[in-house]
Amino acid sequence: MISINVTDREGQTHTVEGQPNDKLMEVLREFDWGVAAICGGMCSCATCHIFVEDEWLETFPQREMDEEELLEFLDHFKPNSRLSCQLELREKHDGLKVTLAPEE
Amino acid sequence: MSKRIMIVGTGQAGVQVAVSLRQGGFDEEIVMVGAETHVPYQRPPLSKQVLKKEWAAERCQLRHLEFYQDHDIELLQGTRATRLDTGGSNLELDDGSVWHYDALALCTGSRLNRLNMDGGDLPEVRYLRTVDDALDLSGRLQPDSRLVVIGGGYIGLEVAAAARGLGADVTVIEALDQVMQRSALPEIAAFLRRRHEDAGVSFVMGARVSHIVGDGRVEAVELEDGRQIPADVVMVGVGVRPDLRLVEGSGVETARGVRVDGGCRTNVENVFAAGDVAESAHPLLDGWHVLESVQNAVSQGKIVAANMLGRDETYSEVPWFWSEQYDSRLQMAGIPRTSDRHVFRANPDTGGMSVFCVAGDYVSAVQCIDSPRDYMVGRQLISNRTTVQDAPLADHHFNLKELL
Repeated sequence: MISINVTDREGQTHTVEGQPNDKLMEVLREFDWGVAAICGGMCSCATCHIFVEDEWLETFPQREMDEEELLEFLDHFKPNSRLSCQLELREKHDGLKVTLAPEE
Repeated sequence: MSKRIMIVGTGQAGVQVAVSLRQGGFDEEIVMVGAETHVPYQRPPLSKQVLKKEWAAERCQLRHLEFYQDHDIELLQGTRATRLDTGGSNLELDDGSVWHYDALALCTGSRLNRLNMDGGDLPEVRYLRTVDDALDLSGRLQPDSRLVVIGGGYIGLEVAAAARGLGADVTVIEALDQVMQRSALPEIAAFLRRRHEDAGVSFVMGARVSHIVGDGRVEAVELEDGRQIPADVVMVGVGVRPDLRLVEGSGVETARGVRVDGGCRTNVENVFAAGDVAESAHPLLDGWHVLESVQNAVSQGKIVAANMLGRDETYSEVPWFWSEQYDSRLQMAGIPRTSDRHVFRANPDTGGMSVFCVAGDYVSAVQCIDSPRDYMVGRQLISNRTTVQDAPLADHHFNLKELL
């Protein structure tokens, strides 16, 4: 079990749990008012946008070009922006901290 | 007495209405009614990951079952709403029960168009709408199975791509001379068709199906010109239409779909509609549109919830769509009009391309293959009604971001 600390759009923090190889988006979608993830994880819609706490950024592979291209056009884009559908959980992510980006 | 909101339909739009009502602070009764028995799920992966056996069906669930329990959303599954009495604000279900509602969301989605011809009811003639359909079709597709797809639209082509991935031999029969004629621009359609042909799919264009040949089981699909295409399995993807069965005769105004205003309200007070069943006049589009997409279902679902809660919200998001076929990603925004100019933009980095539809000085639609940047810029150009010129759009050396 991998515990993830999520800060929602109202600034409340929650703990959600995932399994190795889960897409982070799928875990965050399940959480009450989580990410919309409209395209279901196809890296097509940018509605699963999150911010990854800086100290955890390097635990994930770098953005591929398609993720980069979607992110850079979002109003709320920041250096630690990721599309959570592109992030797979591993054991090492236990304790991960992320913040849901505002809806565009 | 507590207030009760009823939602007919447990697809993407219906679930969104329920979620947004709770998120918006509604703490009284929510009852969802749906004919299917699976935990409400998203449909796009059915013709892709589920068909290819990459995902278990459960992975398509929009929310786990506990979500509905935790948020006190009553889910009446395996149940059909059979009669709508708008005068008395009552909904009758097929178990004979009658439910009074204070507000009603019609999210009944669409119904499949079916083949009405000899052999059309043979057991290997399949459709794809539900998760059960996807699992069934997937189970029938083996390496070297001969699959004939009737209809070269979105579903037909996504099934063709998935079936090739499973090693099936695939022929697509399309009545028109372009695939995805209703939704894709000719340049995009031609690209996708080539992509399918490279993957080994055969196309029979401009051909009408006469009947399905077979005695007890499918043997071939016969065209009106007499040609026969041998088949083990036939997948029919000849479109859908809004499911209006419940509203017929109820006083709710319909045309192609349930007519709604920008706030997703029908002509009947406290009755709303969202998703594939709704027909709306979008502020960015000419005329009335039924938009069959997840994005539309989600956006309209949110609007319905907001307006049920007494806010006055209207729907204005640029419609967008996507598809995946092989390793190509198609992203589209806006609705092309026949009068638009088409501006082509190559993408040498990925081998993809984009087509911008321009009306006067404005972009009305964009369709992109493997070009997410063009798509994201295009969406904003449409939504902001930015003035554009053709030359920079067409020049792939020009950074489109400068237009924003």
